[in-house]
Amino acid sequence: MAEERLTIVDLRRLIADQANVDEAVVGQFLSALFPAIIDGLRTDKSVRIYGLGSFKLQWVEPRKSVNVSTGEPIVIEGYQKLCFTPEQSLKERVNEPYANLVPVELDAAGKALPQQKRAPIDPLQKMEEQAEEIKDLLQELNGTNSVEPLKEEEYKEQPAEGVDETVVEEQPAEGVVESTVEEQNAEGIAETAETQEGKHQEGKDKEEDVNKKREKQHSRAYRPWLVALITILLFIGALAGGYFYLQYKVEQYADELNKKLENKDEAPMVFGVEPLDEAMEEEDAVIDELDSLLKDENDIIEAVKKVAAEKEIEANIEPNKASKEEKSETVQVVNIGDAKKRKKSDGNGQTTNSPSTNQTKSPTLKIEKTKIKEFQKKREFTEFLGIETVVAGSRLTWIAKKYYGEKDLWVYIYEANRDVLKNPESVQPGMHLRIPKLSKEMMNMHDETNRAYVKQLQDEYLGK
Amino acid sequence: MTKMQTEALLNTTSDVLVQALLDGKSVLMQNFGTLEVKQKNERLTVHPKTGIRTLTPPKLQVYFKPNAGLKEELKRSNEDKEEQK
Repeated sequence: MAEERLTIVDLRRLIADQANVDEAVVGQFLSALFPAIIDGLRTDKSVRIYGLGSFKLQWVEPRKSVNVSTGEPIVIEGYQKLCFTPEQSLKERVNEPYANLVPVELDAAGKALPQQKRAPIDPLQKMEEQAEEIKDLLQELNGTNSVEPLKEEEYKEQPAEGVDETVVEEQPAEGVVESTVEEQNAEGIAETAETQEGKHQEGKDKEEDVNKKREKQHSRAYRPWLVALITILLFIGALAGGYFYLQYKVEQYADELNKKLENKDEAPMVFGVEPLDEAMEEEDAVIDELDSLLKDENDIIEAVKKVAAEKEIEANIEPNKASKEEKSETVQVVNIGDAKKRKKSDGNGQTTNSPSTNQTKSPTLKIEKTKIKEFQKKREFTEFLGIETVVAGSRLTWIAKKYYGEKDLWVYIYEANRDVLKNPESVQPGMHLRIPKLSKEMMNMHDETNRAYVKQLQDEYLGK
Repeated sequence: MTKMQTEALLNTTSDVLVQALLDGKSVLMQNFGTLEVKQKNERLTVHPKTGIRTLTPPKLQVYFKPNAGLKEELKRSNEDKEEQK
């Protein structure tokens, strides 16, 4: 917009003309005006000029940043920024050319435009990818066929229609070549019979090649669609397979749990059922097993004991989670066995480093254990804070933030509503979601193990 | 100069400035800064919660860009103030 620039000289002249005052006086006035405004800013932090707007000093908070060249973190100190806010009347007058324009809501018709723009791009990209896949497949299948590479190049260089045309053109040419070959043969009858036979064989070969090419052209026309279909079918098949596998796993788990429960005549899987001392006994057993497993490595035993101690603390903190202890036992042994192997390999390599490796590994062990312990537990939510009706634009994290103050806890809402939610993203407006009441331990996101566990749940539900 | 005169001059100054801005001109004031009108292009906005898409029309806005020297001066002066506090 700035086609023309007014300087202080122009300003002086214009003001003098309008106010019928000598230019020199206006000059004095202006040279006093700006320092006055700046002084006003310094003292009051804001200066307002009627009809124009207000100048304000705004405090910019100190903030952290990074030195671009060295990557060192630095702090940009806070400073005052001079801002200008035009008066409402000035705003409106300046914007007069566009004043009649009103924000327009775009509904289905407006939405359709950007989607249409995107739509043609995606299939094309997919087709290209698929075409590459097809080529690879074909090369594998027809690896011995010498005609194949040629055809591939043709296909790469030209679009489907073009290929047909050019090949059609080529064929007659080849036919001509053949006929000339035959003519030559006819002419060359006088020559030796051996060479004739050789030439005939060549001609036959060429005919065969041409036939092959024709067949391929026909099949090539359908290929993109065929392969698109096949890939889609494969994809669906893979998805279904994964889904059924997961289901099968879950059922297995449930069966195991039920068997063990029946054997021990335990109460059903609800929060906080098993008494503490049973859990402690199990932990003793675990420690014994660990000791027998890790006799020769004293420092490792120490680490495991540390872990066990941590587990005891956890059991104290979260008695309700102890009920699944015995199931995790078997898996724990396997895990610790793995850890033992790892540690052995470490110990063989560097014995001096063993204390430090132990220190680094104990927390991971701990997390693994809690993970196993928690993942086997089926939570049954009996108490609910209420029912939330999903509104447009809402999502699980948003609801979790509203009820628990922690958006990461959406996993529990999801768990409580597995019957209506197929996956965490399938939240639809109008759905009624039950909001389970969570224990204090579950809501304590400052606890590191709990946070790690919630993260794991999230990853599992999001299919990572 | 009397108070009346000053007031009159100040009013004419703001009038002149406003008129210049209305004409689409930018005003460069030495040792102070630049007042100018900028056009903001039309744009598509989406309400994050309701997902309503809106075409926001273009807009003319007044901008003030303070002179670099003045900027630094104000920055420094206020750093002193912060230290005093």
